[in-house]
Amino acid sequence: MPNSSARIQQVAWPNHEIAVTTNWLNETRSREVPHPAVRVAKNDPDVSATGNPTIAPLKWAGLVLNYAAFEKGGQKYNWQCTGQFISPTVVLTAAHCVQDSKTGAWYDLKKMYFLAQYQNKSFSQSYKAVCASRYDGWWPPQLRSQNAEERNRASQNRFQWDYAMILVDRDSVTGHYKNWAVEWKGKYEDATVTGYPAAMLRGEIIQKAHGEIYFPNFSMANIVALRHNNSDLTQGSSGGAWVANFSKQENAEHNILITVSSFIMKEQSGVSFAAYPTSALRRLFDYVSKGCSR
Amino acid sequence: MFQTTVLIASAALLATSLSLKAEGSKPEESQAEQPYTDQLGDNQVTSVKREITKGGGLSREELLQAAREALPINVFPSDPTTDTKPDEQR
Repeated sequence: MPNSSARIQQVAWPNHEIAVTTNWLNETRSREVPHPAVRVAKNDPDVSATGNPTIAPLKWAGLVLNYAAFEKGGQKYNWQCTGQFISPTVVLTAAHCVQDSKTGAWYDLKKMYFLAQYQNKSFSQSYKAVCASRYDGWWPPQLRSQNAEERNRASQNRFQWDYAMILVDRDSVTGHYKNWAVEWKGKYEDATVTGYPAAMLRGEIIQKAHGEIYFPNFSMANIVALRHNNSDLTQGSSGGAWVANFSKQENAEHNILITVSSFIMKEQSGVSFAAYPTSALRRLFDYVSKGCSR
Repeated sequence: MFQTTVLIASAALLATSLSLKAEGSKPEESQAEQPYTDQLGDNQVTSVKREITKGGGLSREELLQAAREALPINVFPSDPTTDTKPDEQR
């Protein structure tokens, strides 16, 4: 991984919006610490994708942290993903961020945290996970089938279920996405991908990239793609929202969450893929909102 | 003498009780949660749940350190245009 710490230190958002927003100031009282400074670096060569976590919609996003989630060579490692509040207490992320995609082991809820507005070695609030749910399509029994063809089919079809919801221990301080859509094909033709890709500023600052939505013509069921042409928007942005009508304005017309990042393909640089959400997503939301219970 | 013995015994019992209570209240070290399933419409969901206790967990500094050292989770499915063998990697 390239060492971009110098860039991070003088980060990196050449946009005037951060200076004019008042949201952050109004909320300072309720925060654990003042917000990490977003310093303007006029000469930074490429920060066009850098997002502003102090205003909508990125103020609803954060880092999903799985502490000491796996061990290798006697050392424990932490996993990170992206997530965002879709209600005062429910965080939406990718299913592979709560359950190991290779072993099927659930990440330990006692070591799962949501760090809201994470940026540059700081965050506003930390939330503990209370429960997490995902559809069994993400981990179907056919994945362990002796039949290679069946196993292969299952391993591809499961990506339409690569989303999960986490109920956290208290209400979001900064609010949440109020608009999210399912079965929206034909309604949105472009959107903005968000997330903490490790390849960009070491995943220290949330990124965003706008692009065209299309439905790829391949054998994976119910998958949608977004061509943002940013080849670095990859690892770490899993679970990050795709936002239609991305805007700092908070109203019914803007910031419509339409899915979350699932995977990339080595052969298709600058494209992110995600599950195409159906009404099942709403059912999962209702279920998780009630404490992962019916 | 008898009263002293009773007093010592009571104190010992109380100390043991408090010790056990303290041990049992360690907030973040309980048993791993067991997944359970439910039916939602045509689909089954699996969930994990935990009891939240006051206090415990990682401090802000520990969380920051952990976030700084965290690795990204990612999955790479096989090329669906060729249906090759799945190749999920980290």
